[in-house]
Amino acid sequence: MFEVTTEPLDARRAESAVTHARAGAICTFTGIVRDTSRGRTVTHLEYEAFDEMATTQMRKIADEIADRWPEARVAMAHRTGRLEIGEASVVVSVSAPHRAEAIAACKWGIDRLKESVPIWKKEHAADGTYWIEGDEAVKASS
Amino acid sequence: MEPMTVAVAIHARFFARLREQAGTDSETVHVPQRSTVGDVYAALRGAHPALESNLDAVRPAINQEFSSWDTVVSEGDEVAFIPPVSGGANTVPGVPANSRRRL
Repeated sequence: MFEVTTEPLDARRAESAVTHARAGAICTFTGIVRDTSRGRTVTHLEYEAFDEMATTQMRKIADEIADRWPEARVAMAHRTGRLEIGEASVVVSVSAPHRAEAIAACKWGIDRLKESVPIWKKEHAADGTYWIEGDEAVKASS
Repeated sequence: MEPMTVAVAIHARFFARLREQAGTDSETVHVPQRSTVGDVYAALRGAHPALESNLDAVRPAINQEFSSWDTVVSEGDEVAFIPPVSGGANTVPGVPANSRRRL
């Protein structure tokens, strides 16, 4: 399961996609919209994706995980559109025979997703809107 | 320079901050044969001067694969211009840093 969706995310669905009889561990990362960023109060977020390329990149990350942890199975989902505080923006779920691989592969998955999957976050804060680009927040035009 | 006799049509796409700077999410641009991705972006900046001038802050992708600025484009290519994503340093896996440059 690799998807970009405007619908609310369900971590259980990602876990169901990776569970199987030889998997003794599932590690799931869920990213949540928080109410502060860089000292600013955030009212809500907007995520924009290059949808087709985003799912292609997710599959590539799953291939990287398969190279390193051959028994791992991976599911990834990212939400787009307007998200309120407390909502899930991203879910990465990895199953493996044992917990060490599941945890390591899940960390690899979310770290690489944040680096290489073309999805952008626009913060709506009390003092304006900002595109978040790596460590920088760049004032947006709207 | 020889006169431009043959042009290729490139489908350019802009995302996030670059989309706002361009004022559009996509457009078709014609460039001479053997043009690079960097040439395509320079042509687009001619039409949209507000587009980011620092190439280190933009990652190009041809047909959904990250590319370098020096890659030559072909008729019908989709070339996307991608600002840094939210969680990552602006590194391009598989593309050496010395292939990046400034306009």
